[in-house]
Formats: sequence, structure tokens, C-alpha cells
Amino acid sequence: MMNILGIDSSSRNLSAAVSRDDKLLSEVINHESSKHMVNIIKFTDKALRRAGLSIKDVDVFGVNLGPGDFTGTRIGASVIKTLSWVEKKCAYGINSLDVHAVMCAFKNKNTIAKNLLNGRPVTIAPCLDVKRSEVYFSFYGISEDENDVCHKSEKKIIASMIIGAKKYNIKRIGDYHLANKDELMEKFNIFFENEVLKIQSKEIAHVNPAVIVCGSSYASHRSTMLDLIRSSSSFILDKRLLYSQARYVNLCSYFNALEKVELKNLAPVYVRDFVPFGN
Amino acid sequence: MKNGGILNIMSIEEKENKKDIYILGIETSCDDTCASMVKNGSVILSSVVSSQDEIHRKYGGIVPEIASRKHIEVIDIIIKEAINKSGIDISCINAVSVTNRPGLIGSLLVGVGAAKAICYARNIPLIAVNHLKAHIYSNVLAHPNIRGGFIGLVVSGGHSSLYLMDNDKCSMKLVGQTVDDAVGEAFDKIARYLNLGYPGGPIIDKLSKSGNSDYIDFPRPMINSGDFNFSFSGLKTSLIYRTKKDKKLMHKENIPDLVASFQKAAVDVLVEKTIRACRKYGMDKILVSGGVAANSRLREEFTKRCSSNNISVYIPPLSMCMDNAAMVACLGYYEYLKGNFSSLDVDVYSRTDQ
Repeated sequence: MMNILGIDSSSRNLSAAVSRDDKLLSEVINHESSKHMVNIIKFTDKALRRAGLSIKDVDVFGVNLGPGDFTGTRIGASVIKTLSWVEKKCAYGINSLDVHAVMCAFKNKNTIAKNLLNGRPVTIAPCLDVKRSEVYFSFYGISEDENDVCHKSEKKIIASMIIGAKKYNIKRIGDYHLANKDELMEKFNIFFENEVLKIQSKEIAHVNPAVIVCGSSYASHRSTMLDLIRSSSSFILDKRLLYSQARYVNLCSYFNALEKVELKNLAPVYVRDFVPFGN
Repeated sequence: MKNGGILNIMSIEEKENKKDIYILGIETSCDDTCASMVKNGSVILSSVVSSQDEIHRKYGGIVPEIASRKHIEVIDIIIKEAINKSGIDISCINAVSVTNRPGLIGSLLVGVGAAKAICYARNIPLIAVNHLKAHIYSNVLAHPNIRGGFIGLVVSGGHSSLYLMDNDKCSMKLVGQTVDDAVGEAFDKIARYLNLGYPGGPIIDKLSKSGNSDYIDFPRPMINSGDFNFSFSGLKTSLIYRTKKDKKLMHKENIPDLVASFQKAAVDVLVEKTIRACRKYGMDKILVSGGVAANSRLREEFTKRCSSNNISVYIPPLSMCMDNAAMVACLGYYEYLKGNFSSLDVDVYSRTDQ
């Protein structure tokens, strides 16, 4: 058993969550824009207290490393990397797209179960607003654990979930992508040719998948996202899931810890290099 | 029995008083990531500085976004190194002192985030301090026996401020500051204009040594303004106009004379107004600090002019002029003694008046 403390400060919503393995014990979240610097320790302390634990009981730390709000992501990274060092425990930094994918999978368990039972694959496509009219996105598949022969070597499984009596893995298909919002539909079409999700390099094909789209792009580029959804009957938009939450950081961190994923220096994820004074 | 009890408490308190106080200082207000362990406000056990000069040099100045990105990469490594070098176990640290104002927000929040995490995990007090006040304390660190009030001048790439410190070593009043460019900023901009490199201060200082400082009589901006504010933007513009009017000033052989004259004008204003402030407020001490306190002409002029005015002047060793965390830990020590602790909800501020 392991106790996990996770923080998600990568968006305007700040959250701190405490889990035991894959079970959530407590979560403190602010749905309004908040001063993350002011609240981060308060939220962390509240989440631990509600779980009946102290910082000394934490075995694994997790943080959403973005891409996201620069200021917020840095605050979370600085706090978590220092806590993990002081407590001499491991810390995992999770890509914001992965956190969104896990959140989307858990929030749409019923839809996913229904489709999988009917033999239809499910793809999750989080689309994040990363400023400058650009969208950062990736695709995730959901597959039965026992059929997942290559997961150890591929290292693209980000978390697992139980549906009914079966264990499923949430797995990233291909890379993280960046596209201008006006080219988003075109980019999606490359991957979804003839209702088949194809990632050429990996020779993976999902035939006629149900595609659940989520993420902050809907908040910023509403018409682009609605056009995209209307372009295919396979697409479903989950309008509720705009901002990620710490409890899903914990699920990813738990999986990382179980698989003993290599630890890295925690630093925020940026989608582009910073070029001073413009291009 | 009651008396015995009180005596007991007193003896514990006495023991407490004799115990050494270890303060961990963290400073990330601009482009340097710094951590330091200081014992009893005066003994530097470690002072680690990770400078980003090399990275910002090619832009001729500090790029805030790049500074913040570098801070978050190294913050834990620098703190660990400061603790390891000090030979003090993390469990012996009495408090963490960290700069939370003024500075670049993206930089400040990295240090403050780390400081809060240490204080929360170790259950020790957090002391959030003013960067400029910490600079002044680089002198107290070097001379812990400084007593009484003084005038403090902080001169750097971001600040040119005059403070009046009363007797208690903690309450500080701003009596003057630059109304435009900081003096170090003016040095940087001139160096960039003349293609001399970055940071401008040390380069101009070095070149000036072989130059005639009376070559051009630059204006002494605001020297008779009647207050204690400074202005360096006009001085910078004046140099640019002169070189536009007289192109030969830009010739390589004239550069030392040009910058020496510029430096003299800037130093004259700083020294003159600081001494006037000292007289006006009836003080007998001046504490000079900040990156520009490393300037050799500024050091010489202050020493010369103060000695003829019967004022004691304190300037920290060169290593303590630039941003460092030892000064932050030193100030933290005096705040610790007073019990001036910050809440873990404390925010970061780009300016001091927020």
C-alpha cells in the first residue's frame, strides 16, 4: 500500500489530493481562479488532514507538469520537488495531456464500458489550449490488461482502471501533437482516415473508434472544437472536462510508482522553446 | 514548588538563548539561484550561487521567462548543495528565510515555493523578506557589531534606493529611489549601446580605469532636486546624444574616456545624495550594497568622501555585493530573534509597495 499526495496547479483551478493506491481519500479543489501561491500549502495540508495523514505518511508525490499556466505549473513543481526531497520520497511529474486522458476515462466509464462491450474501441483525445491559437493534443486507447502484451516495453500506459471485473489500461497512442486551431481538423483527419485511427509509426489501428474529446480548447476555441465534433459521428465532446484535477495526477503517479518508472528532474513541460523578442 | 517551576522554565529559556541559530536563506528574485546556511546571523557556513549570466549575455540583459525556466530546473540542487556544504543536518535548521519581494514574479515564486515546502515538511517558521533590505544586511553580516541607525544605499541592476534605518535594525524607511532607470541598468544599457558586452557594470568599471574621467562633463541629474531621488535615464540619453553629435567619441581609443566620465557622473550623484541624506537624518553611518557596490570608483569615492565628513562607511566584500542568499539568511536571523514569522500563505510581489 502506498499513500500518494498530488498537486495540480497547471490551470486556473488549484487542487491537492491524497490517495491510497488507486483509491481517493481526499481532494481539495478550487473551481474559481485562485492565487495558487497563496493557497498551495493550505490545500495540501487540508487534503492530508481530511485523509487523516501527515506529510510523513506520504510515500509518493505527484504533480501536473503542464503544459499549462506557466506560473501555476512552476509553483506546483517547486513545492512538490522540494517536498519529495525533504521527505526523501519519489516524485513523478505527469504531462497535462495524460492527466486529462485519465480524467476523461474515469468520468466516462459508462460510455467506455458500453462501447467496449459492443466490440467498439474507444479513443480519448484531450485538446489543450496552449495560447497563440494553438492546440496541444494526443490520443489514448483503452485496452484490456490481459491482452496488453507489450506494455512493459512500450511504456506508454499511463494508468489503469477497473470496469466491471476487468482491468483496463489507458495507453497513449503516438506522440503529443501541436497544431494551430485552424489546422486542427486537418491534423485530426490525418489520424482518422476512413474512421480508423492510424498512427503510422506504431502500426496501431483502431477501427471505427468512439472518440471522446475533452480539455480546455473547448473553453477558448469553442467554434473550432464544435466544428471538429460535427465533422464525424464518431466524435463525442465532453464539455465538462476543461481543467485537470489532482486526483488523476495521483492515479498516474500510482501507476508510475508500481511500474518503477525512472525518476526525472521535475521541470515544467513547454510546448515551444522560448524565443525572446519574438521570432 | 511554583518558584521552582518558573526557574525551570527560565533555565530552559536560557539554554535556548545560548543555542546556535541556523537559518537557511533562499534568494531567486532575479536571475541567480542562491541558497545559503548562516549561523547566528554572522557565520556563513555555505553560500551557493548559480549564476545565469552566460545565458542572458547574448540578449544584453535579463530575459524574465528564461530566468524562471532556469530557476525551477536547479532550485532543489542548489538548496541541497547549500545544506550539504554547511555540514548542518536539515533537522537542525531553525527557520527558512526567503526573498518574496521585490523582483521578477516568475523567479520569486520558485524560491518561495521551495521555502514553503521545507517549512511545511519540517514544521519550522518561514520568514519572507524584502530583497533590498537583505542587500543592506550583507553589511550587517560582514560587520555584526554595527549598532545604531544608518543610511542604506542599495545600487544594482534593478534598484537605486536610499533607506533610513532606525536603531532597532529592523524598521526601515525608504527616503529616495530612482525615478526611472536603476544605476546598474543604465550601465548595462550604455554597455549595450557601445557594444561592450553584458553585464555592463564590471566592463565599464574596468575600461574606466584607463580613461580620463574629466574628459566629458556629463550632467549630474537631480543632484539639486531637494529630495533623495535619483535619475539615470537622462544621463544615459546625454551620453547617446554626445556620441551622435561627435562620432569620434565612439572610436575605440575614446571609449575609456567616455565611459569613465559617465561613471564619474553617476557615482558623484550617488555619493553626494547619500551623504546629504546621512546629514539630514543625523546619522553617522552609511551602508552601501547591491551589485553596483562592487564598482571600484563608487567604493573609492564613498571611502574618501565619508572619511572627510566623519561618516563611517560600510561596503561588503565583492562576493557579497551581488545577489546571494547569505544576506537573506542574515536578515532572517534578526527577524527570527524578533519572532517576525510569515504565514505559509504568503504571496510574491514584484514591487515593495504592494
